Amino acid sequence: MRSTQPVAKTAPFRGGAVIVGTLLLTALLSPSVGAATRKSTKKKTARTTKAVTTTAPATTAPPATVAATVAATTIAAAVNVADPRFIQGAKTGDTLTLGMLTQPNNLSPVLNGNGQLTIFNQPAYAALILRDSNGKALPDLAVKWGYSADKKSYDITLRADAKFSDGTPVDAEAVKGSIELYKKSGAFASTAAAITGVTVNSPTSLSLAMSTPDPTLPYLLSQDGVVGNVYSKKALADPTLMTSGSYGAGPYVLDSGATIAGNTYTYVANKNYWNQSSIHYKKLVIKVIVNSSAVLEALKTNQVDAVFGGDPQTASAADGQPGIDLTFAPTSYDGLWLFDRGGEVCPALKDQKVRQALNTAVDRIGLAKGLYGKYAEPTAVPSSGPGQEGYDPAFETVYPYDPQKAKKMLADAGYPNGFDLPITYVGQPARTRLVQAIGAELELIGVRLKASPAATFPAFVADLQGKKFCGMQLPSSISLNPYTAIGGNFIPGAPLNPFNSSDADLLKLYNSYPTTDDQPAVAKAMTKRLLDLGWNVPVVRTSSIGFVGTNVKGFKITTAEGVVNPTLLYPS
Amino acid sequence: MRAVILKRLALSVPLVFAVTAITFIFISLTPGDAADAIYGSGNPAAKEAMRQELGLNRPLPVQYGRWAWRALHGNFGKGINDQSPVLHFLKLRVWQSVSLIVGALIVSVAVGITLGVCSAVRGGLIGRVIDVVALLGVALPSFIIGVVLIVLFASIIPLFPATGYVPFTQSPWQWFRSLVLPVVALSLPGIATIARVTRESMLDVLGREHIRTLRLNGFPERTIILKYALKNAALPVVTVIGLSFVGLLSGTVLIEGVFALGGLGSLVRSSATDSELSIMLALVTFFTLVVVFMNLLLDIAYAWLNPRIRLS
Repeated sequence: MRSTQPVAKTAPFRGGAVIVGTLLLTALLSPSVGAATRKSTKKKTARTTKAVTTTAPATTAPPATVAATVAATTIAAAVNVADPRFIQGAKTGDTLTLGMLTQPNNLSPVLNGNGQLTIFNQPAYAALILRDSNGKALPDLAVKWGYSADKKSYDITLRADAKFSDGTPVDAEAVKGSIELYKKSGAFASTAAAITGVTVNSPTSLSLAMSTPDPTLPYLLSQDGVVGNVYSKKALADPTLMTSGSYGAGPYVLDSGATIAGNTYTYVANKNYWNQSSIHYKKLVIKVIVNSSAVLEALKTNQVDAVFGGDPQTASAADGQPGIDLTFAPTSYDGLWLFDRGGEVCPALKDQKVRQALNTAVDRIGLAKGLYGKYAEPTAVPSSGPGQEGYDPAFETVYPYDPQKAKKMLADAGYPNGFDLPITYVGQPARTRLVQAIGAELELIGVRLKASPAATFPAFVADLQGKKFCGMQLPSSISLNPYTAIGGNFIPGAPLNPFNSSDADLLKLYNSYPTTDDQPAVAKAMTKRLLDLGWNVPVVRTSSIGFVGTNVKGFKITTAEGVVNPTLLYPS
Repeated sequence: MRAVILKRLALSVPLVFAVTAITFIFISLTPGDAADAIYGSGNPAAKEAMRQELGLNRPLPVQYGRWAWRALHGNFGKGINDQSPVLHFLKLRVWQSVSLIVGALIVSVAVGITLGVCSAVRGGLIGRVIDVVALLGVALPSFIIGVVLIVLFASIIPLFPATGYVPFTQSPWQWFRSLVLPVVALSLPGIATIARVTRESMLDVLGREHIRTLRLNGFPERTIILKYALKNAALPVVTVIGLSFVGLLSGTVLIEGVFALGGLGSLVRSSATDSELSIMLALVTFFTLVVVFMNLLLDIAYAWLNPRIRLS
């Protein structure tokens, strides 16, 4: 459910994170969760006060197979397993000020926590699992997790010494309440649909009853998937409290008196955090600066220590400037979505040939270079990217640029004079540029792209649901596990599938994914099927961008983890 | 005079209702609602529950009536996203906006009138410079001026902070520094307009016979200009100050964005785009009352300046 960056880039459309998130349920099937965690445990035991006991994983199945995830990812039997936030030798700084170009609707992780907006929740809320900057699942409030032998339940063991910021203990009841709250009123409640019940076994142990062995649970139960965030009793009794306060067990706690929603969010060290030595700052401030030039100046003048988010223009301006470290990684694919695959409003789109013609008509190389410079690369592949499951570089050459051929394909399909293609998008300048550029390409084969910019995010949502438009422009994450991405975007009933398009082959592959022995092969087959169907017209793979000053370390953006976790940052 | 004030105040009541009702209608005309803002295209059940709870499905007049009734009792409701009371949002932010708007008002009036008088009296080069500045002030959007100021006076010559606001209670000096650039950016269009109108009006008055009479009677030039000419020239200036003030209110929406200030202007923007109806209506009420109050002050100023108004 990582929301992709551009959607939520500016404040007026910050809700964008929500929608994309709804569709783009990230999964991290971290390649070998057990191995990753073991490694971290070994490396970081030094700072724990008591001896750490680790238990070898029950199986050492090949990475990224269901077996690996499903087989009990037994990490450590003792509760004193390593804290992934601990950094050996790091000093404690006074104040970390992080600049953001977007703001959350509110501070409730239940309603709001998704994609880059989780940055506002991560300081105060700890989840069961913590994904590090490489996307590895590490223990946070949970020390052990994994499927039972029959794969019908997912067993979680909690850290015994964790407390909420109000001093009450983090126990299995709180986790149960938190998951149930998310299933009821979470913005992306559908991501937790496979969890059918929660049973408390003891104060530190609980089991999730599963309808299918969802391979994405380690992601969902992490700070990125949001389902695993744990809330205190007080917040569970009245969840609206969380919209303006913090009720979690993270290393920081919100200082409401020094917070102006939408402008400045101030967090102070949480005195009740279970491991004080892994709190790296006395104070953490997140400043919302919606103007990208101003945010860069704020960084240059040390008003902020680092900035998450940014457009290619700002990145080009910052590139090479002394004292600014530019970090970016491809995290989204962007282009057109063709919704009306049954031809209800745009009969032409019913024909697979027509959709393929649109894919053939776009000069991806030219657009990527012209619009984004080095901050994007051309791509024809929906839903996945290099290094991710389901990706194959050979897919990129399925639709080589050939407007003549595209025109002929249209003529063969019975549209020699093209057709009108109404789409909607969130009317931001960067998006308008992309939409206009794609429109100019399609114009050459006679397809008239009628793009209507939505003035606000709610308006965009209304557009999508109104079935007036045959498609849209929207960037979508490539960091997702294919199962999650397809489930959120391309199966009937998926949030980003307003016309409920259905393809039997795709559905069959999708349903077989959780239990197959060869998930990578099925994932590739799903991507290939999507590519052949031509349901989307991906054009570019865009990057999430961050700017780091000289005072901060630990700031990293990768394809696997496109969101920076502020609690992992420390003074240089 | 008292009649003028009472009449004004009486007029402001229907005005507030008209403005809030129009706002209500406009917001309801935009597609999508608060539930869409929060849930996007996911969780339809929770979305519907929220619409029920907030009464978003009810007819518009019912929704407005409910709001107005509560507002009359001082209850402006609470936020939809962040469920704090609406007045809490305003309270947190109002001082930033007041600092910014009052600062910009003082600067644009003081600088505008000074420039206008100087150019009327000295003419020539200053007059032309003011024309150019006025043109720029009107033509350049304040957010562009803001970005240029940040680059020049925060980055290249690091005199002032690039963004943010420091409360007066925390450090008066830092408070002042944090306001300089936004106040300058916000007041520039006002300075330009006020200076031009002052100049025209002063030139007109200085050419009149009573000024010549004063000069012939040996009054010092300084007294003539500041005491007699300026007072006579002030009526159109006061009018344009009123108009500029309204411009300042709307200017804060953009300027607060550029300088990352958390005042009411940025709240206007975010509540509009998030369909935060309660916050939007509270802001509209607040701004309407501020404008009514400002107009009242201007009316008093008119009366003071022009005995004909006072006596009628």
